[in-house]
Amino acid sequence: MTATARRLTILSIASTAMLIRVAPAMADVAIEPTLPEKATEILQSAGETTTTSTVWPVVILGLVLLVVLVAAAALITWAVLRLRRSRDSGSSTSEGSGS
Amino acid sequence: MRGEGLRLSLGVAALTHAAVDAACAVLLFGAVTAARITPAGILPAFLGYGLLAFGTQPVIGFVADRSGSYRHIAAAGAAMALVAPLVALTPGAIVPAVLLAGLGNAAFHVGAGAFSLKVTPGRALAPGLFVAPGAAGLAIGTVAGRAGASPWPFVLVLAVLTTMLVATLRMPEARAVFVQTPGARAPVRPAPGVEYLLLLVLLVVTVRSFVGTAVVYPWRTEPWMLVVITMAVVSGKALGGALADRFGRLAVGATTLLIAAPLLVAGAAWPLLGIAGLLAFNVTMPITLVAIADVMPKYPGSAFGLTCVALITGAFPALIGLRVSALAPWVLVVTVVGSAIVLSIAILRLGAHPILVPASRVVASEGSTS
Repeated sequence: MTATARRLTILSIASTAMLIRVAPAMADVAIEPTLPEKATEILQSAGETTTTSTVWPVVILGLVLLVVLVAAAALITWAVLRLRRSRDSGSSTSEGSGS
Repeated sequence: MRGEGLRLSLGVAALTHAAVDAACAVLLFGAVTAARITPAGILPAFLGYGLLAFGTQPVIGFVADRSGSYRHIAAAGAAMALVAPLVALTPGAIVPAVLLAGLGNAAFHVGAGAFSLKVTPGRALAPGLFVAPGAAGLAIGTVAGRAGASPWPFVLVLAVLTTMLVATLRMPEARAVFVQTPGARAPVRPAPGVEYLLLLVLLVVTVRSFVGTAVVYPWRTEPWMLVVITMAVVSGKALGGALADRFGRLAVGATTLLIAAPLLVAGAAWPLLGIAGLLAFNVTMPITLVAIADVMPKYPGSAFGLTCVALITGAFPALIGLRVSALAPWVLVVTVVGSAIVLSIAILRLGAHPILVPASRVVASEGSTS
């Protein structure tokens, strides 16, 4: 067994032991692997104490923020590809002049 | 930097990933349990955290790419995530705590994620190993937070790992990778239209995230199922990278999605099939990540961040409380099969050779010519 395989085995055993240690103590806990899912559960359970008037402004604000962030991501993608293209065309020009 | 050092760096980064996610989850769920967040504040807290932690990554990633200081950004992010649960213990300080956790999580992911993409350039192995433990950290942090556990153990573990991260994380030199490089693909030339292919891959990530929130099994309340589900998700992501490098991204990505579609639906009645479906479903994660990183090889932070924006976009409907789990099973099947087709088209168009030819075969053919 290589050193890496040994480390991975120890890591796997330790992780499993940690999960096993935590899980039985929480018999009534439902869990999925992503935070948004858990957030949804909590939000739904809190639904009785929150009202539509308090929820909608937050949802709309969140949606606006999401759109802004997606737009920023699109802008960054455009900038990165533009930088690559200009670099590539620069290198091909210099290669051409060199030959 | 030599291979052994890179393995250690990657291992520490992966463990820190789990610890960062655990610390953030224990902060949020612990605050709800301890009523430090009012019912009216739950939605803003979770939504704000999600948008900060996932949505800001492209911006932070771009800054990291331009400055080249991935290590510092990763360490700063881990330190912020480390401090956040303690700030949350201060009465009335939940807003700064959530801000710290969200931005810290984003910075850590970008810095360490970029490192994982640079460790095995053109390959999915290292990114897969880096992202996988996050699901385990999230599960542990969520359980602990909901149980009202103290955040201190998480803070201490994260403190140790952050120290190790600072001590060990070194960005690999251009050619220093700890796996054989022959199978690694050449960077994709950004030909006209590559933007649309990127968009297709990001669409697959969004759909995966959306379907992930829509699949809610009735049997998940069993405590042992928590362990098994978490292991399936972690294994799927970790295996995805290795399988893609071995058998090709197209074969692994499309096949596992097609297998996952019926299994995820059948999983509602048969837990074993559901677990197998979750495993197969998560295999595509490192594949989509490296597909995007290949297009922008000098910008691994931005590439990592783009996938996270797609992720939060897919999770948004569930995050604001829409009952996406009520979708009809056939809708899920069509969505997953559709994403398999879209992923196949994008991968095929992004480049033929390294995607279709497994790394091992390239190594073998190179060996025979020499």
